[in-house]
Amino acid sequence: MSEFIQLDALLQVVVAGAIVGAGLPALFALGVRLLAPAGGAALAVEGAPSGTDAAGPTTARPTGVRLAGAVVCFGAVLAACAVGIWFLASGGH
Amino acid sequence: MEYVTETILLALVVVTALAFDFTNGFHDTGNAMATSIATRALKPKTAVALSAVLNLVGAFLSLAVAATIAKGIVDANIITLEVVLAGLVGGITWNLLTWLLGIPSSSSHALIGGVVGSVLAAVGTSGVLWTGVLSKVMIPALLAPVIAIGVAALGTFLVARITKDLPQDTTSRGFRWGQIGSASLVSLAHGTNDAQKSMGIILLALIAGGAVPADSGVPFWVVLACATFMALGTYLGGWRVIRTLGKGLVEIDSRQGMAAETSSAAVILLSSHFGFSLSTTHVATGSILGSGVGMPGAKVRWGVAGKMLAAWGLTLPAAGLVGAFCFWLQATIGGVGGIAAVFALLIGVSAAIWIASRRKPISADNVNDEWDGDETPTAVVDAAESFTVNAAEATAEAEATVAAAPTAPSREGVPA
Repeated sequence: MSEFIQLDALLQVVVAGAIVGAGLPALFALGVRLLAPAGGAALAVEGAPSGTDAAGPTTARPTGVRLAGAVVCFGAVLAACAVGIWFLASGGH
Repeated sequence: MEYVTETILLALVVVTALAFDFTNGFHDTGNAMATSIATRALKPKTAVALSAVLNLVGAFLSLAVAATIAKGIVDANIITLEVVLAGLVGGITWNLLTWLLGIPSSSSHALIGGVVGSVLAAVGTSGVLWTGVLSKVMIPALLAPVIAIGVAALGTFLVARITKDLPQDTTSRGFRWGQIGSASLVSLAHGTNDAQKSMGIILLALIAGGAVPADSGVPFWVVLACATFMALGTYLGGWRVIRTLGKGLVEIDSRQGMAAETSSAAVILLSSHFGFSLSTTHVATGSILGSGVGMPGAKVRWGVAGKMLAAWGLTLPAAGLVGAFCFWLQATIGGVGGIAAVFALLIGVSAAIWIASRRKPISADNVNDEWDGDETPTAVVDAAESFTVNAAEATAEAEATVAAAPTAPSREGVPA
């Protein structure tokens, strides 16, 4: 079968695809949640990066910690987009 | 006479390659923009305009053109202008037919199918590298949707969990932006990858025709023309395909749309990075399906998905059949008449498909209408029937044109 399928390349695509393709939306969702006015109760998200935990107080405006967490989340998403554009521009496809 | 034939052939290959580029644009608009249109993150016209601009920019972003088509799939020494012309006609015909039926299907696979078919007609099975066909076309076509469904389902599931107790207007506001951003990246990637295919074909044709030296880079007018035609095609909006992708497969909200487009962008870029290139269309369709699989309570119309999968399986043989027929027609008539016959056939078939599409037009105005449960079967049957009728008329018309051409010698009947 390996003649027809490059198994190592396939595996890389699956693993990296799952991390990036599913991780970025999750980070984005976390960012949206941190900025959400109602605050919500403490949230147990497995695999969420430490330091961005949504355990802040329930206030109408995001507090400093929540805001910083959201900035980290959206920043990571934007950085990933920039890497994507750089990859296209460098002709790496 | 030889010189005249060569020049006409070169000109027609360039025009046909641009036509393919155009169909590639409008066929693939939905890959990036269908979800943003379905969730009303963007107005339909705004979405296609944005996608068109990004395709245009993408085409200029990188010019790392590999001036090869169907590399590793057919014997490179066999690729003549005649083979390329017939292959392009096969690719365009399949693109238009699947557009008529509202089925997203891979433009690159259609082109490869057309070229494989015309190579088969030109030199027989020895010209095709079957291992390459299997490993670069057939197997990736099966794996791409599976990978994309998995990634998008995981992403959607995580997003749904993280945002489950947030009010919907809060998530909609945030996620619409994320959706537009990720869809834009898909558009940009499409412009960079797909416009280069047409540039590669035109460059190859120019070199073969002696118009530019063999070591030439892509002339600027070729880059400009390919980028423009791709953008125009995108702006026209393949509304039929957009409707199927946005409304037909899954009822989608902006969280699913964002997860689906991010999955598409990530899988497309990573797969080309790791040298395991997957079709944009297959990945995008799989991602949208995955966003339905991962969303608790969402309904996925597997019947519609099954039809798509069937169409993907048919892409190679169907485009190949048209490509083979075109090459045969060209070789049988020979000379300028042969080339003219193939070109007339292309125009006839395109016109017939366009006329058939007018019977149930889909535009920016009705692209988001509720999906009727019975829609696909009846629409497909209707469209297929009218296509058959119109195609028969068009073929007759094309035959008449050919027969009227002074250079065309008498020949055996062309199967309708």
